Amino acid sequence: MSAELIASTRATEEAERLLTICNACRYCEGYCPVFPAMTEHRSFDASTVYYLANLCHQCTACYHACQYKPPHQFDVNLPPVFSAIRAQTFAEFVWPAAAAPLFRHNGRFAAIVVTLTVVLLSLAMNLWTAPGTLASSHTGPGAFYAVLPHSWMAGIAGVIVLFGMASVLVSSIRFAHHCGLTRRHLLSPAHWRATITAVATLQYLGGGHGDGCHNEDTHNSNLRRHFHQFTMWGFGLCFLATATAAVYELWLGRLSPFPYFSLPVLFGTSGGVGLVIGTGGLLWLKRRAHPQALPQDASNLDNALLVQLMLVSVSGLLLLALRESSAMPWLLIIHLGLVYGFFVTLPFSKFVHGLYRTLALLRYGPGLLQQP
Amino acid sequence: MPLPELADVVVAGGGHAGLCAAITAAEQGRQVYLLERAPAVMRGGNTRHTRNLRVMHDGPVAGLTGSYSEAEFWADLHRVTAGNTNEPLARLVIRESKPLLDWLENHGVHFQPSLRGTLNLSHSNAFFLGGGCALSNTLYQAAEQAGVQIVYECRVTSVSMEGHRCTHVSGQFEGADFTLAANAFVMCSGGFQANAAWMREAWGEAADNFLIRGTPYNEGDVLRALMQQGAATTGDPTQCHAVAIDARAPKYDGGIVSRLDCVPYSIVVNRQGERFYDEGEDFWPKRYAIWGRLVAAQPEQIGYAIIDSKVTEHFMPSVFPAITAESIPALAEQLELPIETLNTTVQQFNQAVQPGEYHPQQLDDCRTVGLTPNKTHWALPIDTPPFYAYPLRPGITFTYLGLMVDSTARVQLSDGNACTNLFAAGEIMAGNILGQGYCAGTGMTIGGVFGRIAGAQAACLPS
Ligand SMILES: Cc1cc2nc3c(=O)[nH]c(=O)nc-3n(C[C@H](O)[C@H](O)[C@H](O)COP(=O)(O)OP(=O)(O)OC[C@H]3O[C@@H](n4cnc5c(N)ncnc54)[C@H](O)[C@@H]3O)c2cc1C
Ligand code: SF4
Ligand code: SF4
Repeated sequence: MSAELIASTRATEEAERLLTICNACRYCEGYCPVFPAMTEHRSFDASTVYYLANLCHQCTACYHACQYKPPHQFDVNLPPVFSAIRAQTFAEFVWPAAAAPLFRHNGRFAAIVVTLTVVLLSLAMNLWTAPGTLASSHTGPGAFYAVLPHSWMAGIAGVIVLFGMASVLVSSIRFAHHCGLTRRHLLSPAHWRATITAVATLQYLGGGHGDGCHNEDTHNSNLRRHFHQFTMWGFGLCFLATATAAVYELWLGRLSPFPYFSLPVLFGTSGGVGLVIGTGGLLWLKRRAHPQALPQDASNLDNALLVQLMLVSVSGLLLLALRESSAMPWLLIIHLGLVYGFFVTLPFSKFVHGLYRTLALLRYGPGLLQQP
Repeated sequence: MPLPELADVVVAGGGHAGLCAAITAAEQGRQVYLLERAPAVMRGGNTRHTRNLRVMHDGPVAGLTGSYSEAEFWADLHRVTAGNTNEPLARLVIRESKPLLDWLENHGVHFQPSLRGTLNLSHSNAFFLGGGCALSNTLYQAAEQAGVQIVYECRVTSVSMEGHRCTHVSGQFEGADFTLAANAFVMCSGGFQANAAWMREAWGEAADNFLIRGTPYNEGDVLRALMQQGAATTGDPTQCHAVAIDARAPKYDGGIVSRLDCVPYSIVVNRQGERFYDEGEDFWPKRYAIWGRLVAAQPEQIGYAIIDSKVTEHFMPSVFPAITAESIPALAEQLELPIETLNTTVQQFNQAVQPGEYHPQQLDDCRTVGLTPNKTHWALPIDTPPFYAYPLRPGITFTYLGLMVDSTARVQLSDGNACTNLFAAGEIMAGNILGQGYCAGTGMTIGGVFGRIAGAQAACLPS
């Protein structure tokens, strides 16, 4: 067995050991769906463990609440074990399977890809644009395409995004299949309703009482929920910005850059600001997190995604602010390089947690928890 | 944290009772020192193992369903203690239970609907979200906020009195001896169940085979110190809450997960391979607390619950795997029980089982005839392999021998007087209300109610 596989088997075995203890205790039943879902089982195979681990959103409440936390000999500490298992599910179900090792050193992988995309794009632009193009300002409709022709810009993005979408789709289907999501769940309106509510409001980050999660100690705070909301909705708004921009360009015949008060710019600006606040906040919370309940993960899955989102949005906002200046061409190149890098790494990043978690929630459905 | 020489109020023991007392006194402007024997990670004594408290209420609150009147609460308490209770104090606890619940909520404690598998308690017991360790964390946080000085790893071992007044406590802190004087003292350091020598005094050698379900820190230091100072006590040292738990649980702190719920669906045999009590007398929640004593009375204080594969799904999963075999003799061999006797016990039992309709969740009519003892419910022949066994030992929750108190939580002296500035709350005085028997959730209610009373009384003493 490879070292990785041994480690992963250990995490699953450890989860089984812990879940057997929790199932005889059940004190944490009200915190999150993990515990009610757990009580439907008497033993825990790998697929159940994967399902439960992806229901966990790492609020660490069950660590602090546990009378068996170390140094007790039962040594119960669920959040880091679940976190390791989630990373394992990302690697196990990723398509193409050869990409699995990328999850192991995710920070390094992301850094290499993003550096490559930015550097290659810069070199290419330096070689292929007419002399002076990159040093002067461009304004008016189509200004961006004076730097990089529209067909290239969209073509590269299209290839990367299509591949990314295909990959996360296949990965998600593989995960859904393995974690026991069935037709019954998929066809149940109640399950969809519960899932959409839970995802849209990040309901379970309320801690079971609405006062929020733990982070550095046992204080409840909704900060994590709010920062996560900024990130999630920020990402959504940026997506909308791109979509409306495409509509403007393809159907309305209007070329970017768009005016400050146009829909794409409004969506993009608010989304970008949301992402900066959200990712910055989440990174800040992570640095302060309780070292035992939320140890820094060596693979840097969280950091890789958060830092990338942060870089993309900061560069996007800078581009917006300075688009009339002569800094625009280089800002555009850097921003595009970061965006391309982000989408190249997306199927092999923590991004998939959103999908896996949603699928796990879909299986869980309305569950048995009523929460504020 | 350095200890001063003098404090307004000293609270010994940082479980539920001590926290309620300390917060209450501090909120009345007193400078309070809470001395807790355990290190911070193990703080909270037995409280960290609890899950609920019993509350009188007249409508759905805090996850509770329906209502639970004073009369019902009193009837339950009276029944389980067989009248061996101090009625005025018991009624005080009952009446103050709802205000306690509100107070806990105001101090950040969250509740949840009763845990799955405990529906019988949903109208009487309010369940802490996350259990007692979460409650204790929340109250420690509230105590810090109220300005209580919390001192960990500080063990109180003696109490000095001048007449009816307590002058100071002393003990060990950070490897050295300390002495701390105060205007008032509240003793909340629990029972003595973790004190092996004292348990042996009370129970003889049998005590060596008892498991202690909760904290190893409740050794009754303060209780003994005060008994030596002439404090009046209530209850005898063998009275305690004792349940039958999995014999493989750790000596201390095994908590809730070491419980076994399979007994009503099993036959329980002793070391000799013989049955000794009606396993199906009543629902398990109503009977589990007598099984500690039943097993304690058996040779080597051990029993074995044996089931077959028909009933494995009818009880809460337990944390230790069952000992499994394909035949009764093979099971006997694994358990090191006399093979012949166990075989005969099972055969006789199977032959005595009467036809009936089996209902795991109702008092059904599946019983035996002609056995001593008979099994009066849920008796099915044990005939479908594989066979499973769980070893049982007495698990001590807490001892009842306690300090006698009055309704102001003042410690009473054997000369008939009350101490002026010395109070007790929690396990250390629960015996006033629980002379014997137990109903789930009363320990925390007694601790919280008397903790708040003691804290308020201690705070209003003129300095
Ligand atoms: C497994 C288990 C489950 C239980 N479940 C429930 C339940 O669901 N509901 C319920 O009502 N009751 C339950 N009980 C009983 C309940 O735990 C007690 O009644 C209640 O916790 C008593 O509170 P306390 O503050 O008096 O004692 P504790 O919570 O035990 O606190 C005593 C504190 O004193 C400290 N201490 C001890 N000696 C010294 C010393 N010499 N100097 C300084 N500090 C000292 C200890 O470290 C401890 O922190 C349960 C008990 C156990 C063991
Ligand atoms: S984490 Fe601890 S307290 Fe929570 S259910 Fe598991 S064993 Fe019980
Ligand atoms: S960390 Fe939070 S979300 Fe995860 S299992 Fe524990 S309580 Fe549930």
